[in-house]
Amino acid sequence: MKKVSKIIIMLLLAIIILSVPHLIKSDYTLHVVNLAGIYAICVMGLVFLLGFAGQLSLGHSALMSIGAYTTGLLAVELNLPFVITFPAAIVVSMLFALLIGIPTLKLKSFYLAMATRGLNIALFIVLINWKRFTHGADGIVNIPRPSFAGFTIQTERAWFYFIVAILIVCYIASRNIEKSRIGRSFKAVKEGELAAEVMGIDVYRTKILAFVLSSALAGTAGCLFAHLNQFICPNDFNITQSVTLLSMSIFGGSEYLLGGVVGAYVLTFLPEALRFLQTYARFINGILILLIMILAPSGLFGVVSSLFEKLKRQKKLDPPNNSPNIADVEGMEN
Amino acid sequence: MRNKNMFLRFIVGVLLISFVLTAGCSAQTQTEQPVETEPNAVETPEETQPVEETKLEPIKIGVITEITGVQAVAGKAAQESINQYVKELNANGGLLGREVVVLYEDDQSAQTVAVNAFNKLVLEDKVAAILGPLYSTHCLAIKPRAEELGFPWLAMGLNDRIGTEDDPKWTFQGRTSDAYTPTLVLNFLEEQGKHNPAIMYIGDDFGIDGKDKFVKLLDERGWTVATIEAMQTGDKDFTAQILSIRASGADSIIAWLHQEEAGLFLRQLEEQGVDKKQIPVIGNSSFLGAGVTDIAGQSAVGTYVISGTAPMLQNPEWSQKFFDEYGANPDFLAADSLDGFATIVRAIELAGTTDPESVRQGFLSIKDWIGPFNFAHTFGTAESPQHGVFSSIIVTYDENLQTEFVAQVTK
Amino acid sequence: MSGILPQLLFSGLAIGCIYGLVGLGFIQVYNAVGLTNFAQGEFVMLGAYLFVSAVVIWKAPFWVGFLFLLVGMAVIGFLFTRGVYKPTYKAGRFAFLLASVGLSMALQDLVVLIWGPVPLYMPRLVSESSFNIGNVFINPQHIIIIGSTILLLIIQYLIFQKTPLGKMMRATAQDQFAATLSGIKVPLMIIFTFVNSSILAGIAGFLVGPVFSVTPSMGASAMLKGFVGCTIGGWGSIPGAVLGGILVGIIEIFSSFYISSAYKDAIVFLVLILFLLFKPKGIFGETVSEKV
Repeated sequence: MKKVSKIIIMLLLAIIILSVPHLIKSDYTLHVVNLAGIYAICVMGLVFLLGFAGQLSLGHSALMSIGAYTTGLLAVELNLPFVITFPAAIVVSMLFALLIGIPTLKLKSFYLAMATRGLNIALFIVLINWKRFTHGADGIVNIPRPSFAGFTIQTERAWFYFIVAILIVCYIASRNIEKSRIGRSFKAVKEGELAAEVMGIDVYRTKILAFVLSSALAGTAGCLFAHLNQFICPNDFNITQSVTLLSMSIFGGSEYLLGGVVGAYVLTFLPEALRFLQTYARFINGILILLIMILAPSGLFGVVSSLFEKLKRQKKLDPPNNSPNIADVEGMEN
Repeated sequence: MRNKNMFLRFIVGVLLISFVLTAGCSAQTQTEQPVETEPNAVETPEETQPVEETKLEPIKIGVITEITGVQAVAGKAAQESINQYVKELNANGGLLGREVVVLYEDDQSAQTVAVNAFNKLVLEDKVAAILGPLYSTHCLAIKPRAEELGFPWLAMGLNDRIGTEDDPKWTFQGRTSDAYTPTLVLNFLEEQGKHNPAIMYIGDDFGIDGKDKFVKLLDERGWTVATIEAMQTGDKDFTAQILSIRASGADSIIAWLHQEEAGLFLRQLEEQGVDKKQIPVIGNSSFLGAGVTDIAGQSAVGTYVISGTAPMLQNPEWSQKFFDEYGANPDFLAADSLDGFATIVRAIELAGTTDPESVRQGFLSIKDWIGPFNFAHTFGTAESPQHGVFSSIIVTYDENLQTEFVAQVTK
Repeated sequence: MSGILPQLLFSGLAIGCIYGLVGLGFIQVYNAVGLTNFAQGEFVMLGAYLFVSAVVIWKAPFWVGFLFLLVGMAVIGFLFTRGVYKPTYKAGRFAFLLASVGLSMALQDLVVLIWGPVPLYMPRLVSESSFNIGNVFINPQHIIIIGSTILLLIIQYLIFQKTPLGKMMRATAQDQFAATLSGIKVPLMIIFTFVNSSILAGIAGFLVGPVFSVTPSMGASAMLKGFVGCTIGGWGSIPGAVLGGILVGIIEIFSSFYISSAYKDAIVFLVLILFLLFKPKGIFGETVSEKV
């Protein structure tokens, strides 16, 4: 894509983002937008794990719960401010992922899938039963809104900008990682572990790194979730939630960061838009995953980019005047 | 590439600036307040208004319930009983001379969805009052939001904290809370001469909370707890737990479960040779659930149940009407939901109008009001202003698996 | 109090048989096509619902209901192969897996839409009451479960070892390419494998229905435990799947009694992790080479 058009798109995006909260009158709708943004951050983490490194986790909401509970407990039990709960949530999630990743990432595909699902369930049981520590099924209430440097993020509007800012920062960081050597090693592992080993990549450590990074994002999302809703409970992080996160990633295209973001927004709004189909909501969620896998496994962005490829290839086959430029060949564009 | 990074940074910068501006203006009040429905607004006429002025807007009452998810049985029961009631209410002139319209919102058996549903009903649909879900965690999730928005609602969860903790003003509790029920249960056991119960509870918010309350009370009374056993939702085999109970020498069993597990538990107790005449079993209202006698069959005979509602006993005419329309007997879920809804109607009636503060006062002014299931509701007491019901009924299953009255117990 | 140990063993054995049957279904599919079907638990559930519909709702006689179950599950297995397996098995690493996850979710809610959320009751095959030998209370349905499982295993053995169809299915499971070369219609064999696995799951549902009740989520727990059983027994091994499942049933019930009934699922999961860490090949471990 030409650089100028990229700049134009960025500007447009900036304008759209700035005006959104002024266009949406209803606090309720804005709240849903904010929730979607939080999920988007979490799903980007899933893209790291699933899309880049090819590791299937069916228990991703467990990672988000660690961030949320860390935040909730620190804020409510110890009255610690946001500037502490935020990094704490991230660090604890990463440690947790490290702990869990070490034994489980030795497993292959469906083993890992089952192990992560089992983990999700086990953590859920612990969260519910260990009342003294986690407040059990009641959950943690009255989590304060974040305030730092004199500001309190109170209104949905303020939250919108806050979440989008963090989302963008996370996106930039993730994109940079994706393009770096680390990112490439993730993708190499996904292509084929044996081949990656042969190339000198420590597959095991790479997988763990992917897992830890993805949990950093999940932890961030969890922290924001806790502060936004001001209430968390084990039920917010059950298996259904994990499957929903997964479907968000798949819908947008599991290999694309932006796919995850789009998927998060769409699938958060879909149940709202389809409220009249209440009883069918979860059914549709399941069918959606099924159909996407059958018809378009590469998700929205996958379909879109293969369309782009086809168009590009068409253009190249009959070039207007100049001969094909090496720099224009896909994959080498930076 | 350098350009791209620069522009991304530019965007982030712009965002941060605008965020600072808005956060700085965060002194602004909430953007939305629940708007009062104008009783005299001239609107398009309603579809069916048999008797009076077609110029009055209908009164919208929101109901948050479990239409999907693991607790979907509750939603179905609620809709059936409330729909039947509202139809009749409207046919008889409605509420304050206006038609009543019910807006159901599914909470998908999940807390965040419950809160979203509450937001929607208050901010978008502008209802007059809301009937909350039957499940305590959902109610506890909604409560801070209700207090923040200043909107009156009737929670139907059992957890005492709903109506007590943090001095709520807008949150009312429509069922006998578990601050009282465990005491009533232990009183009952005392009468039977039992002081060494085993507790069997379901490992979710409801069960764990109930168990904790029992343990505390038993400790206060100086009784012993023979054993405490748990099960998870979806568990079906309780051999181990029942063996534990048998081995513990318990003289009675307190069971705090949900419907499905209740039926299975009773059946397996029987299969393992536990004699309910020697070791009485008293369960929570779930034991009156529709599916329990189906699954348990004869093994349900002799089980005691403590419940807020036991519709077949408290209002047989209504139960018959329910059966005629829906082909199945109503259970406590249908009855409790209806009782809550009727309470809201009563509150609005007393309020005379539909703005939040008036409705809130309406609730507080409910005194000794006999609801559809023949027990009294009184809000606004000095000791527990937000609570309305303090009595329960204890029933048992007779040989024909019909509910038989045992006692009406009050705090 | 005597009789605890045999009581626990007996019940654990019965439940374990169900897990074993589910695991068996897993392994057969895995051996044939190298994939795991996450909707296996829902197949168990569907089997139960099919039988209950026939016998309780339509009041058909027992054998009709059973036949309906067999035919229904076969049809479901077939539809599954054509509708889900065929489009996705080539479409990337997780396509089939995720598709079956989606299907599993959809089926649970579909069942609620059709049959409603109230748990259904499945009548027993024999008399209601249990009898006791000494201090051990025997539930006749448990005996039926154990007996049926043994019978099913024998039938499966006979099918796979003695019949030409079974031999062809085994050849397909061993090496699809070689099987094609020998003139075996591999796609057809795959269909048969899925159908067989689906019927097994359905029968498991039919067996467990009377002991518990028939609910939309009844399959989910069985699937997870069946999977743990396969892992303990060793993936790829058929006796491993069954014995692993039985072991899980016994571990579950023992930890519920002796350790904690609240945390028993977490304990089962812990056992899984321990096996994965220290004995990843399982008890009957076969080296499962990764498909590169």
